Amino acid sequence: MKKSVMAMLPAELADVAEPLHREDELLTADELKSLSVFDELKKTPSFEKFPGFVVLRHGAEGRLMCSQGDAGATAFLILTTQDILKLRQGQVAVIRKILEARATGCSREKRHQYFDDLTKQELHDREQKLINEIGWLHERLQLFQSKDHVDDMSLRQVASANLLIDMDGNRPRRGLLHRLVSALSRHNVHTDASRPASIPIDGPADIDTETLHAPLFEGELFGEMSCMNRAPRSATVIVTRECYMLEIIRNVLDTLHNDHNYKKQMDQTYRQRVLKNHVRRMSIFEDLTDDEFARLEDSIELVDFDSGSLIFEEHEPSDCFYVVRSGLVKVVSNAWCQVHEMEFTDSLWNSICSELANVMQLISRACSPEIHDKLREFVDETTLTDQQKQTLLQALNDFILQPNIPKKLGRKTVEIVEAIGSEQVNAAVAGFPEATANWSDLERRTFYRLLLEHNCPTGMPRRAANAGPRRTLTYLGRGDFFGEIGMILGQPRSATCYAYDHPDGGYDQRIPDSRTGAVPSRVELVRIGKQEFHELLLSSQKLQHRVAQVVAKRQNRSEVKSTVSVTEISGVGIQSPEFERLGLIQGQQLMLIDLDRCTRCGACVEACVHSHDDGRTRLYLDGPRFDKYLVPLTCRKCLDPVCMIGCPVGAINRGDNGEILIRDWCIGCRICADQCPYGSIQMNELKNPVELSVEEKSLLGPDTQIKKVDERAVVCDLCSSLTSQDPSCVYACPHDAALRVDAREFFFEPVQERS
Amino acid sequence: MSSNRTSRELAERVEIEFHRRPNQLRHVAWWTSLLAGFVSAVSLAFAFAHGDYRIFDAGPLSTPHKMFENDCAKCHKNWAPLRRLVNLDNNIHSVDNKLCTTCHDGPVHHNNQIPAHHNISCAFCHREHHGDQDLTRMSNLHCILCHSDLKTTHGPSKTFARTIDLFDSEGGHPEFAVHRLWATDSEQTTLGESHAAQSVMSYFQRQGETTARWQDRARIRFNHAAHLKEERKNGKLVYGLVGQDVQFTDLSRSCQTCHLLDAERRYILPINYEQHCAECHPLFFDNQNFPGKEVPHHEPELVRGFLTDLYTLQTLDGRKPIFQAQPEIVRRIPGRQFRQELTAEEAQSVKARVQAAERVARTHSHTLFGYEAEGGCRYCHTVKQPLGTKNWHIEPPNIPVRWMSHSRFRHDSHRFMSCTSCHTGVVNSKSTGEVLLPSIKVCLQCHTSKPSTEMATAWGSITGARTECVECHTYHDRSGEHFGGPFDVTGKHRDK
Amino acid sequence: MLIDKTHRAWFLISTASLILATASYGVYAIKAPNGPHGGSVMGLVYGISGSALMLFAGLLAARKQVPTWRLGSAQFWLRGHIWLGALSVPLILFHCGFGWGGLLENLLCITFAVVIASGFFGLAVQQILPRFWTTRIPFETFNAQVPFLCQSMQFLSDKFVAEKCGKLDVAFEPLKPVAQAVARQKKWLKRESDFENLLFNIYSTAPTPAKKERPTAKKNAVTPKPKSAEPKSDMSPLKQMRAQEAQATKDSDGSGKPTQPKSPLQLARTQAANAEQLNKPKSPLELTHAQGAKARKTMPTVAQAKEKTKKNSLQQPVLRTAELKEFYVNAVRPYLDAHGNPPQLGGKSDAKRVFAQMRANLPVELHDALMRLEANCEERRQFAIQQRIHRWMHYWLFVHIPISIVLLVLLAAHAIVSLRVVPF
Repeated sequence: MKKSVMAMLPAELADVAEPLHREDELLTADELKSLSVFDELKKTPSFEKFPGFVVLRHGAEGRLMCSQGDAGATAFLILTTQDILKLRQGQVAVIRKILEARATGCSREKRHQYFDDLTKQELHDREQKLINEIGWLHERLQLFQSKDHVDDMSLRQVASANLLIDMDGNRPRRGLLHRLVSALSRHNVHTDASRPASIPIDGPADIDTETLHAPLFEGELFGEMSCMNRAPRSATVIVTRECYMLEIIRNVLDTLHNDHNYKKQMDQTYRQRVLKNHVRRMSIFEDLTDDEFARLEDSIELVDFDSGSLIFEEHEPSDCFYVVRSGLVKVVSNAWCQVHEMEFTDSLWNSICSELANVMQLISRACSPEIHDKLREFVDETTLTDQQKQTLLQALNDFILQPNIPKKLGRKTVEIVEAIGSEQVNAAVAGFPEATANWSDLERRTFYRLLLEHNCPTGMPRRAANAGPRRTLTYLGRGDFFGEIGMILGQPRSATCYAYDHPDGGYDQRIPDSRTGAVPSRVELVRIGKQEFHELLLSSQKLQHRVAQVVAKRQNRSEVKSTVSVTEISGVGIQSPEFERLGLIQGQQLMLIDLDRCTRCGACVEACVHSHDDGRTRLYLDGPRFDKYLVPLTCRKCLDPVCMIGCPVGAINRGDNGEILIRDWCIGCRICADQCPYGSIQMNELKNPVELSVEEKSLLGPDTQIKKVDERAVVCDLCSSLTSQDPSCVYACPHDAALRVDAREFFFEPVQERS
Repeated sequence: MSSNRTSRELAERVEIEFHRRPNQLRHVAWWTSLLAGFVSAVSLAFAFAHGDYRIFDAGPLSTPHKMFENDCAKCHKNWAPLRRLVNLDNNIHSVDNKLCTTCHDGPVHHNNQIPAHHNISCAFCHREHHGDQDLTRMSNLHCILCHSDLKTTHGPSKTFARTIDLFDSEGGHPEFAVHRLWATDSEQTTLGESHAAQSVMSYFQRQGETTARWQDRARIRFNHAAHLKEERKNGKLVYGLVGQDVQFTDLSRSCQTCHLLDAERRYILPINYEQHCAECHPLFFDNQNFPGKEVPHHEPELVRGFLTDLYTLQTLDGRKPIFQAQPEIVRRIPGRQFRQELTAEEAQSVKARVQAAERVARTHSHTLFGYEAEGGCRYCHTVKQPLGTKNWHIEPPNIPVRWMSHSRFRHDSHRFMSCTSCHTGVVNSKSTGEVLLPSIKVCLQCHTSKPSTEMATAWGSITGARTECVECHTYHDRSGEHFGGPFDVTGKHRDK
Repeated sequence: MLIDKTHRAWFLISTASLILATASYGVYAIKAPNGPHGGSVMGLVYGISGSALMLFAGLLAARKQVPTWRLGSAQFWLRGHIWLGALSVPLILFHCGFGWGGLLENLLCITFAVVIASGFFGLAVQQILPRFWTTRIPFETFNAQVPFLCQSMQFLSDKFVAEKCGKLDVAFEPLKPVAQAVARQKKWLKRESDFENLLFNIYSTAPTPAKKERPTAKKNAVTPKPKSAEPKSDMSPLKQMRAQEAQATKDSDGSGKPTQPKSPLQLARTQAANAEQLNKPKSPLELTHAQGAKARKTMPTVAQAKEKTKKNSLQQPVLRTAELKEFYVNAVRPYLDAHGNPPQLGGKSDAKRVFAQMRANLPVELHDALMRLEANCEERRQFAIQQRIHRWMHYWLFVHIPISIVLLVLLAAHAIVSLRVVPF
């Protein structure tokens, strides 16, 4: 618990948490425990440890709970009227106790952590206050009872989450010529033609794209992501009706999450309110009728994955698909670990068994007995029937898929390394966590696979050779979905997906992909099974049509242009620390400028400005040099686009072209810009900052100043919005100095594949 | 140092919206070019608006046309170049012949030429807008265009050389017709009837002392060789002409003692007796009675009349020579009878003496001043007396004033050469039958693109004199030109 | 554009066409009765093709206006511009038969000559200068932002020097926008007021930032509403209550005795404070800090020691820092300025000398500061060089482009007049 706290709490709380004001109060542990949320829990969090870190915020009408883009480390729990009533009554009771105790003057023992220190006068005032409030709360309760259930919800709404964005404002006025041009040529098509109906935020509900509002109801919890991995606030929450919110910190949240009951309840609300949006975001489900959808909804199951655990692996048969409910999913290609039949050639088949023989004792150390037995059967087989082959594969995969590293092999990475003295394994394991217990699924499987490959040099197919370097295709956040196409087309999985828990070394400096100090967190998914889907497919005409469309689109869509050539990372460049330092290897569309040719005419930048509607450049001809090349500041389409991690509103994702795409509803929190290791994402000022709407203003009152959205992140989209999908900068360079290259092909000579 | 700063560090220093600031380079370029374009366009337009088209001239006009420089429409009514391009025909010109012929009537070259005269555009040969140069200076190519393979309306030309490519190449310019003629002794002439040389044909006949051959029949006997004595003065060869005082007149400089240039110093004036011959060849007739007295250089009738008159008077006045002027001479008064009349025998004697005198005059030699002077008609002229008749007549001499009427030549511009260097054989020529015109070969010595080596050495390194056709030939028959154009000083056009 | 092997195709094409043109010209020149001239069919052909090439070359400018249109890559266009432009020269010469023609034609010839000459100059320059630039200027940046960088350097070193030797008394107004941009990028601006603070800490001339505490603002945000809503009857009891309370505080303020009930948070904090005196760590924050401290037990002492020494060194040579400051303000700062270029720092060697001198004068503690300033100066100098090269590399365009526009205009006139598209 302490560890988690360390990881979560920022240097000073003031930076990320609202300062208290006088309506806010701190509750004693008992009071907290008394709240319905907590006393339903099996194991209540230990509030005693941290007095003053769970705050009861009084939301006066029009109070600004949190504003989008701000740093946040806490989640908000909106207390139901019943709860607050109970609480108040309790407090009144306590106060009375104290008073009479004072009157009698006896018994000095503490009754209340805070009230004890108040003077008589103050206590009286407070009592009076509380009593008034209780009265008022009663009124409200009656109101709830009296009304029938239909507008019950609307009554229970106490706050609204707003998004301050201007989807299509902030387009600069362009010159006549430009307008003429764009009129003539339909090149500058706007990419976000397909705007989702809702923008997922860090709350129970998603934000409607039209109104940019989402209601928040009593008893709901928002700000989980901020709380769990310090994502900035994804929306501005304004109290629309007097209420109380409990601001909780991570450890409390964790306990909530771990609790079964609470979870059920949460799932319930999710099914009720968000599921639709999320599932409907998928084009195929757009025009389902409600009852059709209802049927689908029943067949849907909500699943969790602990961080680092694999959701599915490349080349597995795809039997279902997922929608991300919360958390982050990392999609990696060329990252499978299991052996597949297609990897095997006859020669391999022949030699595998014989080799298994001489590693049996190591295997015996490395795996559970039953797998060991399975494998033993094949030891002195000479020729394998297909049947046997299957079973062998099965056995091998079982070996690879083992859920843990047996102690016999070693508790620590170093032990393992010396246990198996192979530099190949060595290299692979180097980056892994210290204790083998902390290894993620992927890491473990990689290790096992390598282990086999190492011991059966001729028998086992070489994964690295077959796959090539791993490429992170994308990171998926709340509301995104994956695996559907494979399922529909009945193809095996095209990539490996695993629950990515966001490494978190404090708010300001994040170290992507180093899992030090990571807190186990969870990824919640919606799973839609194959047969359910197919049943629906049979029934629904529309769906069939849609699916046909998708299939067609998929077939003729130009495949993502990212050629992965198998390259030995032993080229000249890689040794040079410079190459490492500049991270050129990441570049799939690395822009280089040949300084011998470049006359610094700036045509590329102009082209860049011209080819984007907002008239902003994504390209800055400033940057480090690598031999005779300048590496300018622009997106290089990283193998591992860490910029995508933790966008609070999921506004940054990959486009069809594999490019990084920042959608219109960017709220200008600097996350992605800070995240990009190569400074390729720039925060551009918005010429006319987005303001609150009039009624929101009136709600907030005259002199509450709220941070305007005056920035938005801008990144090179490789000109994918243009009909011809090639980057304008290269196209417009008259001196053919500008290049876009795949670093791994450009700097290293590719070695031909060994099959 | 940007070379070892990382992208990340550098990213923090970039000016994000730098491209919003105007790009100085582009701005300046843009505006200057706008300005430049504007200025140039406007200035052109201005000139145009002011009707000052000289800018648009394809080039300065030649002197005679300078006056029209600013008025294109004077000559250009229809604009050819586009049509020329479209039809790929170089013979479409922007100038209409009619417009030329209002001032110039370019007479026909040959009636039977192909293409017909009226089909050739003036502009085809006469190039304007090439500055102040002679519009009649044509390049040979123009002539050669036809003359390299000469066709006429009736078949290939019989009259002229059919294939002339160049002046000075072999098979270039043919020998002058006169020379060709003179050289041959065949019966019929090689000349076609339309050849300009026909004008001198009448001067030729087949006759001769030894062998019959075409030669000049000038009906004058003149022997250059006899007149010109060869002599060496201080080692230098000179020719002389024997004067009355038996002295040489030096002719080394020129033959102008006898052959005078005309007013414009182009051609040579014809010889006349009084000026050139009379001095040495007097026409005496009666040294006893009338010493030193000559008959006039006229027709026989005049001569006879002169003589009759002379002798009659002499008889009438007895011994008194009527020529001593006397105050008491009685003039014949009209209406009154003459004082004296001849008796019959007196008349007879007069007649006899006249005939004697005539005879003397007609003979070609008699003595005077102590030596045998040659004179009398027959000496140069051929005197004819039909048999049985007393009256005789002299065949009129015919010497052409110009041998080649179609060509032009300037003796003047050749004055730096001695006459005999071209008119070779003059010194030794005895008979008038010889034609002393220089042959084309003589011309070719200088007028050639490849001068002979000795000439080159003699004159220093020279290229030959010009060989253009238009040097000698005139395309238009100038004789056909009228005088007095249709315009008056106000520039108004009056139809003739 | 760098001429190299990649141009082979263009080279071959243009030379081939050149040879063709020359041969045909030879024939035509001999054949033509009165010599080659623009008016003849061949002449016109040459003229038209020549001017077509010119126009193509001219179109490059137009193409630059629409960089995103996919009408052939800019590279293709520039190569065409160079090679065909060059090819147009002989064609035009053939067109005019090596003659001058009239006034208009003369103008054309002259402008054409100028354009071609400038063009070739540019080409030559582009062969040489880029490499030169690359080798000479490791501190390269794109030209457009040089002034910005100069100012930001100025600002940053202002900040730096100010931290070292006290506020500067210089005019900071011109720097303000740049400063803001820089601060924004460096993420120094957490809240609105930060910028004024920043300036205030650097420049003695800057105004003192207006202090504004947020909670009160919030309170005001909330309180006024009930007052306005006083007469309303259907007011929630809580509101009424709060309204009364607001009244109470008001008149209590009026009486001048601020009796604000302690907010529970304050209470909590005070308690925490008491607790700490009894050093039993309450909040996890304290815990972590304590642990951290324990973890690096030796560290803090060292660090503190360093701190101390630094402090002393900073306190003791006061006039020395003043010296540095003076040096900075008088010599370095003006040099860093986007426009200024005072001599004594202009040359590399001069700068070296000056800084060496300063180093001799100033105590060791200030040397790193000097080094940093020197680095800035070096960067500034390189920017200066860069700009000069940039001028050389691009200013010829100011001849090339406008004159070629003139050329085109004249060309149009010439074409109209001589082809008589419009007779007059």
